[in-house]
Amino acid sequence: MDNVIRGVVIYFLVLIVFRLAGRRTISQTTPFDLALVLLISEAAQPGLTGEDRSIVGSAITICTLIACDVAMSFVKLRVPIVGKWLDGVPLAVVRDGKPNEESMRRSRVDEEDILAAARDKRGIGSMGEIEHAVLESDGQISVIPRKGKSATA
Amino acid sequence: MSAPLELDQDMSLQRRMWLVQRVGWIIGGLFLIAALAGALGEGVISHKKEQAGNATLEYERVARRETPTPVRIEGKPADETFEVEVDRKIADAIDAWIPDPRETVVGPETVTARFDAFAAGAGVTMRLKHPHAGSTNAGVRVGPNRFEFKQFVLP
Repeated sequence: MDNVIRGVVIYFLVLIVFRLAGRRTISQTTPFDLALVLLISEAAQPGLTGEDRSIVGSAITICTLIACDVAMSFVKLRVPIVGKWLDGVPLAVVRDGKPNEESMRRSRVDEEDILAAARDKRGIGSMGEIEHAVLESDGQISVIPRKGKSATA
Repeated sequence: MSAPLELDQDMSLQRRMWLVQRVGWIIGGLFLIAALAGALGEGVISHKKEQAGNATLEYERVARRETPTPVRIEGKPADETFEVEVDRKIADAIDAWIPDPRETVVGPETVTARFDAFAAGAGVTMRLKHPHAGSTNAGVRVGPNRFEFKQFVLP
């Protein structure tokens, strides 16, 4: 019982904290971010299992976390607005060749991030060659080049 | 001229999300400030020191479940024995005594720990580790002096 409650509470705590941290923070994975994820998992571990070091206790916790995730996926499917709130919605940061300053500032995305995605995915080297750029709900930046510009990806 | 961007973008929803995110950051910041100030245990707000006669009781008003929290008990031994009596209801939470008592007597209502005055020096530490969250009220007697120990245990 205790392990299930702990698992549910920690699941939603992590869900809320990561959602509040924002997409960009998660998408721009640097070596430090990986270290941060490890540190967060270490910090969450005592809250998840307490002093229970048994295999059964661990199994209950794992099943609880997976059950929460499966339940949330059903909820998101049945109630799309929940999915939008939890996963976010795509956001145009460049539309018709014009950067959207408000969207970029609030999402903490700068031109360098867009150019990095453009170079990486499309082989584009300048903002002038970008028609649209979209910050996807998974934190990736999709780039659509201006017509006539070749796409290499 | 390229094709228009077909995007399921809802700017009013996005703005509400940004607002919620900012509110979340403020709540997170307040949570950290509360933690630094001791409202979540171990800090200026939480710390309490009470005096009765020649005895003092020092502890945190806010503790956390299954996390050791010290209760410092000081007093002047009447003879060669330094005696501390606590209500039985917090006996489950007593994790350790520092130093070890010479003897511990468990009665129907109280737990009494007796220490050698020399070993106890100016006082002893009772380390609590609460198994449950919630409010704890208990009496602590140091020699003839009695304290009301009140601690709130966070989950």
